[in-house]
Amino acid sequence: MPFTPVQGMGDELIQLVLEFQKERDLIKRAKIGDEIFRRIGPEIHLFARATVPESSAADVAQETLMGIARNLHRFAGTTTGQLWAWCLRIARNKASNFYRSRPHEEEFDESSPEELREIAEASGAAKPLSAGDRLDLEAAMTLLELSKPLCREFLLMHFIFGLSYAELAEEYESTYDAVRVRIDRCLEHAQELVGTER
Amino acid sequence: MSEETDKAADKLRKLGERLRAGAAIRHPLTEKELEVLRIAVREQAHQQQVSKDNTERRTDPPGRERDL
Repeated sequence: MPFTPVQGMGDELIQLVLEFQKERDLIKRAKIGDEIFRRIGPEIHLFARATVPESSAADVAQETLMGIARNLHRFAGTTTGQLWAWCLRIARNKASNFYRSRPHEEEFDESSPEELREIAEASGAAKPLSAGDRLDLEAAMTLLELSKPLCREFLLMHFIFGLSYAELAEEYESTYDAVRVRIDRCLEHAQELVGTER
Repeated sequence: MSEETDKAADKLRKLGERLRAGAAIRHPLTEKELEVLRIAVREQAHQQQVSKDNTERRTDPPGRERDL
């Protein structure tokens, strides 16, 4: 089965959301809601595991999905990219709430790298991992682990969850060029740290 | 971006693909999770309807006969 990048869920996901918002029959609306949550749920769980400790990830994921369920009628975007940016904003807020209750821990610094490795490994069930794939994935994981928390957030949002520079600029109230430069610098800095580690 | 940074970016994108595919296998929503979300959706739809009804009552001009 070919992998589908986030943005390749494409028009289907946004069409489902627009249908959901228009549908007045509660039973039909619930069915459309089910379909939407089945599609976004796994990546919300992934985000939680990439940003908070494993022991709290399921709770943060569920709080995020509840936030999405209660506010989906208010989503005003028209593209799948805008939908993901909105969902991940809710997810970031829930992760921030988690860290607010633990002021001694640095945000986005307490994720579960081993769990993420297991999740990446699990993808081998659909498309086997070659030795080369494993080396590349390990290099990417190391790069993320060595990044500073704010850099890690940007790298996650852009490369793992597929938000474009434009979408990130809107989310972080910045400009396209500032986001692009920031991501480039984060990558360069992380590369230097990887070189130092060796 | 330098060539090295380009390669790092490609590896991160590959990781993203693998993580998303792996999450779909390891973390599909359970029926219990879906049921909780269905309840939230129903409650929100009910609130929306109540709010709409209240707005309509407030905007009806006084003395106007309403069809019941």
